Amino acid sequence: MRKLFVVLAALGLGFLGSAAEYILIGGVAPLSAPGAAESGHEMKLAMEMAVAEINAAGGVLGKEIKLVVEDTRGLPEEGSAAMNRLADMGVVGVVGEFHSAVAKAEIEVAKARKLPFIISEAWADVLTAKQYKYVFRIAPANSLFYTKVADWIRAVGFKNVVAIVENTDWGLGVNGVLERELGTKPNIYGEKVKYTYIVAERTVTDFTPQLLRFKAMRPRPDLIMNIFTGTGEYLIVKQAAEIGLAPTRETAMFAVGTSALYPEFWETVGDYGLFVITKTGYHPILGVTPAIKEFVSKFREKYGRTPTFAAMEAYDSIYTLVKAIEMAKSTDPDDIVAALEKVRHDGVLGTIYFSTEKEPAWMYHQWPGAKAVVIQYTEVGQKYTEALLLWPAILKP
Amino acid sequence: MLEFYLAQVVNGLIVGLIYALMAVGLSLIFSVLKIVNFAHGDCYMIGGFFSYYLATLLGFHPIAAVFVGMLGVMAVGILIHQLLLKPLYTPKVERKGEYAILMTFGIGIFLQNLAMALFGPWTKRPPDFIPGVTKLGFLFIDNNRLVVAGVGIVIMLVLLYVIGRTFIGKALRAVSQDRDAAAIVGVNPVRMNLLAFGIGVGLAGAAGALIGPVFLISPVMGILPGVKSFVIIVLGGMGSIRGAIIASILLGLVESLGSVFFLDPTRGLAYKNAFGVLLLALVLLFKPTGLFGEKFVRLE
Amino acid sequence: MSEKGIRKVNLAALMVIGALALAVPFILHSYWLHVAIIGLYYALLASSWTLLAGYTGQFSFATMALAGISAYTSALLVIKASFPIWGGFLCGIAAAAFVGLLIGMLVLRLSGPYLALFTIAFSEITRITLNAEYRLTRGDMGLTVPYLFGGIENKIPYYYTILGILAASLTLMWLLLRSKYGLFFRSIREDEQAAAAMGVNIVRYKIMAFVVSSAFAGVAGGFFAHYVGTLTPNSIMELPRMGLIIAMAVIGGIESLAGAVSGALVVQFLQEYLRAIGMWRFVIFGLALILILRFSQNGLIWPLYQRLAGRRVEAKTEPELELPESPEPGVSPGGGGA
Repeated sequence: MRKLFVVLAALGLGFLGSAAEYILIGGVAPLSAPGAAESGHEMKLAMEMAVAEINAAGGVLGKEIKLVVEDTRGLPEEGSAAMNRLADMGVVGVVGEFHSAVAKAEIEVAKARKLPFIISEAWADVLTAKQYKYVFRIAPANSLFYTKVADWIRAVGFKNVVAIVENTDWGLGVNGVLERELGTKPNIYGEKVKYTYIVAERTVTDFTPQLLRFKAMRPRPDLIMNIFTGTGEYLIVKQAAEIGLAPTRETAMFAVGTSALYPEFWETVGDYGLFVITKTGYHPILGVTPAIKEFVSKFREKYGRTPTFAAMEAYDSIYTLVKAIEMAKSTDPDDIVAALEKVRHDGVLGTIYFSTEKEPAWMYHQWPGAKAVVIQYTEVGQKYTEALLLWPAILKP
Repeated sequence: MLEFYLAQVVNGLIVGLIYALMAVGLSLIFSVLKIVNFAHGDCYMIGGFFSYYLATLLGFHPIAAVFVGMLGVMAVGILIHQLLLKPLYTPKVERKGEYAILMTFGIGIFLQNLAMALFGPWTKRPPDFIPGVTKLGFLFIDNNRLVVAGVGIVIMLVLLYVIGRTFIGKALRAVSQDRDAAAIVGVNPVRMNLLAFGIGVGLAGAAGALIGPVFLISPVMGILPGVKSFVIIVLGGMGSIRGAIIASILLGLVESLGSVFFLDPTRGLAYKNAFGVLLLALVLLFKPTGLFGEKFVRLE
Repeated sequence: MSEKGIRKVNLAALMVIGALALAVPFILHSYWLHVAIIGLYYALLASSWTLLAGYTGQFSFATMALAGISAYTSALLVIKASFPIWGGFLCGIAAAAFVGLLIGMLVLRLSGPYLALFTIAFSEITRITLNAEYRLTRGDMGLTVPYLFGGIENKIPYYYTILGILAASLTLMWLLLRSKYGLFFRSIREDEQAAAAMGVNIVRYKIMAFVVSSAFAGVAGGFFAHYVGTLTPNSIMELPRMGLIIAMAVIGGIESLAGAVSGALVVQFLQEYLRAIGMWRFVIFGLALILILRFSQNGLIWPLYQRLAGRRVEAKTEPELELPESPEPGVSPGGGGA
């Protein structure tokens, strides 16, 4: 019975490798709906690219690396199931994830099954604030990143900021940071910033009633924070432009979600995307290291699109994990964790290392080096790497 | 402030017209076949995908793609009817009501997953009907929405004409009122069922195709509009086409204004999709014949 | 074939399945054990739906919403009011049963598609409300719920818990359906008016069916909350998930509890087993659902088993009475497809 099961399981998983020949690394990402499959696929491509390169250069500890990427569908229980599947296969560590709610379920499995886990692109503070021994993060914590975005809002001197927020871990997390930062500190002119927000389901397709309401507000809002990802983010940009609300001379449009960096943004919003403001963790002006140049050109050549922040994080996650394994000279989870606490990897996004400070709580095992860059599209169809840099001002050429 | 209300009303009217196209199809099916098509939202979805691929792969003009897409969905509807719903009229199927609910629901699940597997989960955007925005004084209206409203009105007028003035319409109405009597005077009820189902899902397909450039298309786009068309046919009185049109526009307005005047404005949008279903629940409880008092049709 | 013979086969099959079910943790590794646990959870939901739909003819789409209400009630009481987990669990079941009572009372006048429409509306309202009231429920951010047994390092206790819960629930449902109440339920489905004319108190038994079915959905929901540890409204009560439960029950056989349970287990295991083909597996389930409805209204697995069992009895002259291969391939991974 048992033998039969093992054969069935091996067939079902399409994988039969013995631990002696390979080092097995797991990946988790949303590859199908209701998850953000666009981002998930991009992360998967980047992970595969990193593994192929490492293997071409001789693998790690003299062995080849095998990567298994599991689909989490953006659902917590699927994520925890995926982590368990990976643990059963005998992976030595896991990288990836995009949705914070899913990552929250996954870190519990990482803890329970002693799996070193580098979170690539889930931002909720709580993920590192739980201070689990096996959990590390390259993606910025919401607090780390959006404090800087709030600095920009205050530095420009916006006074009436409105936000449409998707009711997800990520959306509400961003909203929480902005509410706190803008509510407690004045803008550059010493004025109080008025911050109001509306929360909505991700399934909403007609935002026009609320946008009309913003248009009727007196004084008219000077900045709209579009805290949505995917379809909703595109629809808000489109519908705000259609009713003549933003981007206009009176009101700016800030598309906060990562989807604003994808080529699909232009396919979907067309001319309405002109002068939309967005953010990224990476911009060539931060300094184009050879690593970045190489990564971007390789990724473009291989997959025909410009990689975003998420791809770079996933790519760096794999390299960082492998480097830690190399340092530890072992695949024992505790040795890998000890190595991860000391590792310094010169990656695409910068030198990756993990803080061991416990204050603020989310800083634990967090890469503190993430930059927040605010950019604005100045031409229709522009690549985000060519968009106008607005912040940090100090970097302006 | 008046401008604001007017803008909201115009938006609500246009959204209501889109709902109407779908709901009228659902209502027509109910009035003739006496079943609720639980796959209606998914027929709307395949309409969207048909016209998207017609326009982007085969180079159809976007508006032509809507009509060809509608015909495509009609063909799917005819297939569904002939293969899966026809047993309803034979004694072979026990408990026809249960069969109809489960079967149409199952068809919906199948279509949705098929679309997901074939087209991927990604949101797609069909080409504009007419790009740009029309300014009417202080009103800004997206041209695509104007086209949706215009084409929607035309389709509905044609439908009302067919049902009200032509022989086919009379035959359809006869079957919906009394199958046996209709059969006696020489109307083939099964053929009328086929016709009603084909037209009904075709209308849903047209709505999905029209909405593409406005709200974008994806395999799950049909779930909420499907639920909303259920709301509408109950509000309007099951099987009443006139009632469905009025109720659609009402729902469009309620959603547009309701989410703005919600007690806690930060959550108005979060509850937006609940307004309709709440109305549905209330109407079913207190006035199951619908707001406009049409005859209450009971399933056998 | 004799009634008695069939009963004997049934009993034997039940014992084999029981033994297999008890042995599962020794056969399956942690991940497949998780699959089995979720399979049993679905089995409970599918049988709760069958009790209402298959036996009483009330086509409700609210099963998942009721499970969700129970899950959130229990989770919130444990987190915010520091109830013990068993206390929260019981309150959750009570809440689901109470809401079931309300629905039952409200929908008395509605039948067929109207009931289906009402329960769809109810499910959507529940889901939207739980999402919108994120300050309390944390909505899609995910509510972290204390685990039933402290953690999930060891899944075996969870497995035996849900197995015990399912066995107890099925026994209760079976006893209920065997009693005169079961007969009343069925008479409502067959012909409501005739049943009323014969003196069956339609109102009482319809409501009773709703309450009982809702309570069992609540049991499932409560277990789920304290097993997965992170609750989001969408992961319990999306409409497509309700569709999955209905597909399970229909594929198994809508007219029997055993059918619903076997359908749930088979679909759940196939869903895992066919992971490699991605979304296509759901296309296959959808197609199976349609074809089974079209050609075998009473489902596939249970009628198949009945025929098999019947044949075994007929072929009794064989030297040894071979038991039918496990009719629930789900329970035994070696059992293969039905």
